[in-house]
Amino acid sequence: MTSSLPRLLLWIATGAILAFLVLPIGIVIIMSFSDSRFLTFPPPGFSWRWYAAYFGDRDWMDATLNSLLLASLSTLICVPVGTAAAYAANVSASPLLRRLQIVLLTPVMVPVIILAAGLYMVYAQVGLNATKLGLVCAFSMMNLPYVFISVLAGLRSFDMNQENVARSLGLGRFAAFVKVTLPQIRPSVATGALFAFIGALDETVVSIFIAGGENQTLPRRMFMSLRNEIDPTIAAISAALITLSFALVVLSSLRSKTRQGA
Amino acid sequence: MTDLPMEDAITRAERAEQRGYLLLFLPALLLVGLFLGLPLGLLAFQSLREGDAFSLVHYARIFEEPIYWRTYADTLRVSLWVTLLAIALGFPLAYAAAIASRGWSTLILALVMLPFWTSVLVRTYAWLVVLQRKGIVNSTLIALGIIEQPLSLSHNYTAVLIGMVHVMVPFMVFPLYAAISKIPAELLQAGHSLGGGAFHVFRRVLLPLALPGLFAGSVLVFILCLGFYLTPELLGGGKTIMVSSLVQRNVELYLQFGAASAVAMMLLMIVMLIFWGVDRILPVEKIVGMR
Amino acid sequence: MTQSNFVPVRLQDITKSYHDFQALKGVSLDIAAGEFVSILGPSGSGKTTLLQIIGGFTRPSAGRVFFGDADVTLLPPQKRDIGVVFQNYALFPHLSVAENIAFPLRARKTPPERIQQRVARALRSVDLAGYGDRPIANLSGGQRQRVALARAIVFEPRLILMDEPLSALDKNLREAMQMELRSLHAELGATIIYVTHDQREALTMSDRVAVMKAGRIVQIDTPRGLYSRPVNDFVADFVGESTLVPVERVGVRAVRLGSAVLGCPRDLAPGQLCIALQAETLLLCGDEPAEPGTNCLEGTVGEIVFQGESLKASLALQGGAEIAIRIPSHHFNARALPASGSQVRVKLHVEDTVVVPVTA
Repeated sequence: MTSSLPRLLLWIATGAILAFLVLPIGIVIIMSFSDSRFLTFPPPGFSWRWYAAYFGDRDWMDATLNSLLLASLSTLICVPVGTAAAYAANVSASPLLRRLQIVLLTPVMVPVIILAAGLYMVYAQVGLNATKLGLVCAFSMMNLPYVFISVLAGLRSFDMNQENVARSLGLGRFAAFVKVTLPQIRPSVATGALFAFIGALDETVVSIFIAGGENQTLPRRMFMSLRNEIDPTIAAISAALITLSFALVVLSSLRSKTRQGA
Repeated sequence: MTDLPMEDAITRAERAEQRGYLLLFLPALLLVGLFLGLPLGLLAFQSLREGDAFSLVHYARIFEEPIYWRTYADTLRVSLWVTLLAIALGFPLAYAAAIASRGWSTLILALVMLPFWTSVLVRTYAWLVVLQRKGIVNSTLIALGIIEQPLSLSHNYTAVLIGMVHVMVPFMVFPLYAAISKIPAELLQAGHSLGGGAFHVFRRVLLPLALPGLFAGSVLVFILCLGFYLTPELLGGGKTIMVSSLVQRNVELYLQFGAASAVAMMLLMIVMLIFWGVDRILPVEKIVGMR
Repeated sequence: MTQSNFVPVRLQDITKSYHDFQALKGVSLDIAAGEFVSILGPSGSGKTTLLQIIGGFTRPSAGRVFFGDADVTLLPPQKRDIGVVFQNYALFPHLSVAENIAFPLRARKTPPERIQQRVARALRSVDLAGYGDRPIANLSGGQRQRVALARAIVFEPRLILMDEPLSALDKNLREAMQMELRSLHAELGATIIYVTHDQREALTMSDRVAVMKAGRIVQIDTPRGLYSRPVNDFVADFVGESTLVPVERVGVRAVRLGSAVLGCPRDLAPGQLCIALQAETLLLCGDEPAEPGTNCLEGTVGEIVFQGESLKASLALQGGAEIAIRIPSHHFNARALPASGSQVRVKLHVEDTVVVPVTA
């Protein structure tokens, strides 16, 4: 790059755009420590009161625990289901199966609002609205593509001869998969699971339609609260959510790095 | 000398194996079929019925009543603007990350990942905080003496644009970065040494080679925008700006399932049309895989 | 290994098609217990598919596979008791060396103390005693090769399959491993089926070699038989370092090449013929009349290249064909060396005169 002026401009632009991306999130975290009921910036003083308000509130806690439970259950369903499907798609030569693969990707192709409206109407017919079962099934379906794509990518770069060798050495198919294939594609499975868990934890639009009553979810409650007023408690919840997501992402990337190093 | 019983046995074993794979695939298929196929089927069914009879009245309404077709027009316009703005902000980031040293590049991408992993709801809330009457933008402008009265920045069209661009920029950066970082640095330098100015190199070398990434990112962002609900709903201040809000209001407020279904099916058709249209250049799996 | 489990293998009319492509077009092969048979062929000849079928990883479209008297065509790999060594070794990277070798024993629920014993013995037999706790990632290519071998033999399989196991090693290591494999074979008395595209490797190690082309076995013979009695031009070209030159049939056991009439050791096959001239069978000779049992050719010396242990000279025959002759580079030969451009005569023993039919 011969001329330095364009280069300088590029770095300034980069800095400004990154600030645009990151600062709002930083401000929310700072606000969560404010001692004021109003969202003036910078906050007049430091306090934990909004965290206390969040963790001390029965309704918020119920919604949080419910969301964590739903996210865990749906991850537990869609990881094995997605992994099995990815395995089948990877080894089978059947043209039928190849055409069916696209079906598993549709949950991320269809706009969420359509999904939400459709699920709401179907659930209304069968009484699944505002039930754990209904929510878990919806979340599992919505996050299935992430698991499927991630595991399929892992399997494609995995040498299937390893499984063949394991079988020739005396293991059945399932045992060979568990003892040889699974340990080696674990990073892909973990990535899929991470996406599925965070996806379910964050899922708002579908929750707005089909959650409620006893089965309130955290994002739905946040949304309802935001529609009415800008409560600083949300800042504390947001900060907690950001911390949780990042802890999970960093943890999984560290794990995959140490595995590579070994 | 062919052994017919043996060949039969082989064929049977082969079929059994393929059936086994299909069985492994089945739970996933059921999950999607029951909880996506069924809802879509019901939407399609309801969109074509009025009372107990077949009717196109719900679709006709979309074209006749201004509130409906204007919302579609607005949705397309907002999506287009967000896509263009995401390109304007995403391109410099992707380019900078591609030409920077390893450390800087990692930092830039990490800072792009940060909002990516933060929930859309949290990010929308952040913009509510930043853009509100007593928010940081207004207080800064007042402190600088640029304005005297706070501007109303949130709960309008501009706020929706800002909030949506913020969500979409990462989706633009990743495919663009993937494309640009594959361009050898010598190629860009060669453009300069041949006497091209920065703009010339950009237009003749960088842009054509970055085009696949640009195209992928744009399609992805545009499609995501079309169905976007949370940010327009919260930052739009209760106005019906996007089709998604139209669906939600018809379901939850007015209990007009037929109308809601038709609006949703129409949106779905537009999205599928785009997927189908770009499929030859950009396979669906690739777009979806980037999400 | 006191009592050998090794079995004879019989392939009966194996075919395999993928959609509209026929990978195997009827392959039959009989392998005796304890025999080392190589399957030699260029890539795409179907040799790896054949190995996959013997291993049970792929089902044939038709035909049968027998281990001894037992029909194993539909038996899954885990019930076949075969040791397999793949080109990339397919060691399990998440397990240590010892765990890799113990893998087949654990799968067979061998008692732990027996496992330890047998793993230790297997490690010793491939010269890796003391390496048991190492992770696979820390091993060199040659060491990985040995671990894969140990893993394939530790459970006393009925058969050992190898798919180009040496092709990832460098030349010296490869030659050393060839010798080791040979002695291991002798020691175990194992039935080994070895797939390779390297004719030298096949000739060096095998009791018999099956040459494959386009899904068929073209010839199966001992290395010597393959070399001196190839069935057609494909085998002659693929095995050894020879130049094929078209010849004209002039008798039941005689052909004409340019002006020279050459005698052949056997009756000629019908159809078009060519001669496979191997550089090392041609000897420079003077003007003396040909001895009985010797064929003579004349030509012009072209380029001479020093290749270490020998010199390689190109020779343009009358009629235009270009062949090569090999001359040992020791000093006894020094004064006999022809000059580039000179006319020379070379002789060729009748028994080395390989005339084969030309296939399409």
